[in-house]
Amino acid sequence: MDPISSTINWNSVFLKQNPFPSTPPKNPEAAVWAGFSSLRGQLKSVFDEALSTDRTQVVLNWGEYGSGKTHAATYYQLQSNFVLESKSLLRDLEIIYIQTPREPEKADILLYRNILEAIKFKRIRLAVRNIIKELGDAETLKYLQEIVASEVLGKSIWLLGQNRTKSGQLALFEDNTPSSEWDLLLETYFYSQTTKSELKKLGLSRGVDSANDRYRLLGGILTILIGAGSIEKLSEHSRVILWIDEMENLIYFTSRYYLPFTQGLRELIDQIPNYFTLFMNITLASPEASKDIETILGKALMDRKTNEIYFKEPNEEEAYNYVIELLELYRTPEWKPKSLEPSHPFTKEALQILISSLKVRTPRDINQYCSDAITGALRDRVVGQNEQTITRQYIIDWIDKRTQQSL
Amino acid sequence: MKNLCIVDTCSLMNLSKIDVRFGNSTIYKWLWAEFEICYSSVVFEEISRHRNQIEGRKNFQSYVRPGHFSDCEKRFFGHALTRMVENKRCLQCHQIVVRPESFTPDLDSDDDRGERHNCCVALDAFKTSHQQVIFLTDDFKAMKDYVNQLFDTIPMGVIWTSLDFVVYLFARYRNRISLDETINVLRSINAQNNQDSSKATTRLTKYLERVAKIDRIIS
Repeated sequence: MDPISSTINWNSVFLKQNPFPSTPPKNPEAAVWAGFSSLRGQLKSVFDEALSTDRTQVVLNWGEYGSGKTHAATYYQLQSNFVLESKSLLRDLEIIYIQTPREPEKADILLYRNILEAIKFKRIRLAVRNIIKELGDAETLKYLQEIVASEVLGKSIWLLGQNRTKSGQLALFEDNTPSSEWDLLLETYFYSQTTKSELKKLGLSRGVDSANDRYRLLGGILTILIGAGSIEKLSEHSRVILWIDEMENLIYFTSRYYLPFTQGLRELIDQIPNYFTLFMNITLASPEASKDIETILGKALMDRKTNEIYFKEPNEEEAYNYVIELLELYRTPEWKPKSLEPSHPFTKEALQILISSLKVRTPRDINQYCSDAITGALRDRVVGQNEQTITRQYIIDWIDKRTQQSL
Repeated sequence: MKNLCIVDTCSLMNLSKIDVRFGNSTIYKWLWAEFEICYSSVVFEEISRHRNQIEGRKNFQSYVRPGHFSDCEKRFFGHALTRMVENKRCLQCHQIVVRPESFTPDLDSDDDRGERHNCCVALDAFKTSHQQVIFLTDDFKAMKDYVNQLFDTIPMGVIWTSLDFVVYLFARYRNRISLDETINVLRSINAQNNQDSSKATTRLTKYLERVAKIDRIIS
């Protein structure tokens, strides 16, 4: 919350807090969804397929700056919001949100590390342990070596499901095992450079050397999270949903870093042909968006796209409904018995005038305008006592004043 | 006789950083081989200051076009000028709307002095030795404020960015340079421009379309 609006008494207009944040919340628990029913419908159809089929999806979300892409990614990080949309036939969901790395020279390392950190190391180890329990030691090792197409990398994932006992023997990893040198060794192997002596302790012949190794490990780990059962049995599998935000930043990658990064993503998609959903958020303001999207992603990734969602600006009616629903989500308990207008503290007409005066109507612009208008009215003491409202005339004057200030 | 190319510091730095192979060489080496290069002494001073960011052991001083260009600078830029500035996008057609804005250049400031003096070098070459010149710069602000204004007034040649130079080489040496190499170099050069992502993307799209068209036309 910005410092100015935090000093405002939102309760006096029957609101718990400022419902109009200028940036998406960091915490998924704090995210709410209001209005935008058509957009929600488009997302729902992607979720329907995700939760009821094994098909891998590559979904492109694009729209202007402030059109709600990051907000959608934050909101749907919460599994309960995701399954609210559709009935899940799957065992579980693993939702991972990351941003496109801002340092092109470390892009593949950061992508790999951020995904592993988002899943959490312990969670990965438990998933490997469960597969070992299901398939047995030798079968799991063989399975892992096949999916990553490397003996040593496959073995390194297999080791995640193991613990080393005091006598030096390997035993299945248990959730309650206290943290040990073994944990640290494994984390070092997966996250950074390993020395020769550390490799010897792990029983591995080499470390994670290249971008290609990292993508193969990532593919292997995500496949483990999905599950090893027969493909068609939905209830034996989880779906991994990877949401990568700010993909427009790929335009700042020189070819040296762009090619391995996009190629890695492409290989990841190909390596996981089932139960994987990749959402890619791209901010674009240009009308030639489809060409620009290909410029950013490259043809190979574009060819793998299965769905495309345009985060379109709402029309005036949709914007009005968005504000009304947002206000409702933040009402205080005192609101209900008062029988005030749903647009309170605005009168219906005042809110309509405010919305129609907006030059750009993205959620970010609507939020900014509504927040500023209510804050201004509270400061001017136009509202805040005896159920006063922000009138049509106040809004007309407020817009005039604002326009003059910007000139 | 080679064409004269008047180069700005930022273009030299941009091209120098590109390590992708291009027609069995680098784009930076192509520049020195393809044209007669020159610049003003102000640009040479800038090159000297950024020497660690520019490749090669060239005697950069030998490419300075001799002459005192302060008077020329004053004549052309020492009064109020009009530049086109970008407003927001049109809500109907989504194109960026531009409007004229008056400004008075501060000739005492170092900002854009290299480009202003390079403009004078271009005019001097046009009057004394070359029918047409190529003005190479990647500084979009200086281009808008000074270079475009001068070249719009006097038809003495073309203004290129480094991206234009790549397209030129691809078209001229199509048998030696592949489309993939060209795309990689365009992407790498464009990645270094500190523009907002939307503008940088639209720009790259335009150049990728141009080279695709050249690829179809010139086999």
